[in-house]
Amino acid sequence: MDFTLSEMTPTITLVALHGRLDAAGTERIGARLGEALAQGGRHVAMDLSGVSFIASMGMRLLVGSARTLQQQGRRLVLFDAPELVLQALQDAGLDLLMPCVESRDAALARLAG
Amino acid sequence: MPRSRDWPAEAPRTRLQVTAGLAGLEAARQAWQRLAAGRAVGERTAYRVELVLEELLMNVALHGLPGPAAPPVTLTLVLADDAVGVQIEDEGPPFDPHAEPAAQAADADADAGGRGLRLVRRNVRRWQHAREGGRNVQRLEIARD
Repeated sequence: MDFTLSEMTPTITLVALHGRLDAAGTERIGARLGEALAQGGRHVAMDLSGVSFIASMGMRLLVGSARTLQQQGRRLVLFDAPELVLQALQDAGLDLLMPCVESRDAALARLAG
Repeated sequence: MPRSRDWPAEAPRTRLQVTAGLAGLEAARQAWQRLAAGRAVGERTAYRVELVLEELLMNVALHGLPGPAAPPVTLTLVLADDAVGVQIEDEGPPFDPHAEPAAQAADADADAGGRGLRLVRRNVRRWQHAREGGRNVQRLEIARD
């Protein structure tokens, strides 16, 4: 599991995740992702198209990120998750805290609004 | 194993010891992938099996006995025409997954374990637990798509 960070707009950071959000993947990137998100102060759009698997520890990482951002008045929107990953997020009831939309444009619209 | 009469004798299977932790989880995944290779296992089925392995092995790792950092687990996988059988045996403290309260998502850390078990429950068609000879024995069945 790895991630890249870039500026999507002056007020939105784009994070792209690649790999498995499982226990091993979470251990690998958890601290670095937390640090990266702590900076900037922007809203976050998270591209999940490169994520092949997610389980509870990966969800814990995302939920923790969402809550930390929320405390700072910043929002997190996920987008473009593969079907089985989206299904897992829905199974866990996380789609309210962390909306998962279909595309990058939809994420932009969601965060700009 | 669900009593051997539940699984056809000719169904491919594998049985191995792994440690409950990241290294053991990787070994378990590889054993599953070897069993499934070339046998037309659907994507959803494969995801569900990997989810079960991840959640239950990590659960043993996190809630097992103090002692070895990665307690040994015996894993059995059976690939039948209509379902995948997963059996996980560990020597940790008694663990009854069906007694776990459905945790509310009030706290991310506290809820992680509950969330994992709920995910398993959503993805298996049968989940039996037994305490046999000082071991937890989990027997799960995942429908094949």
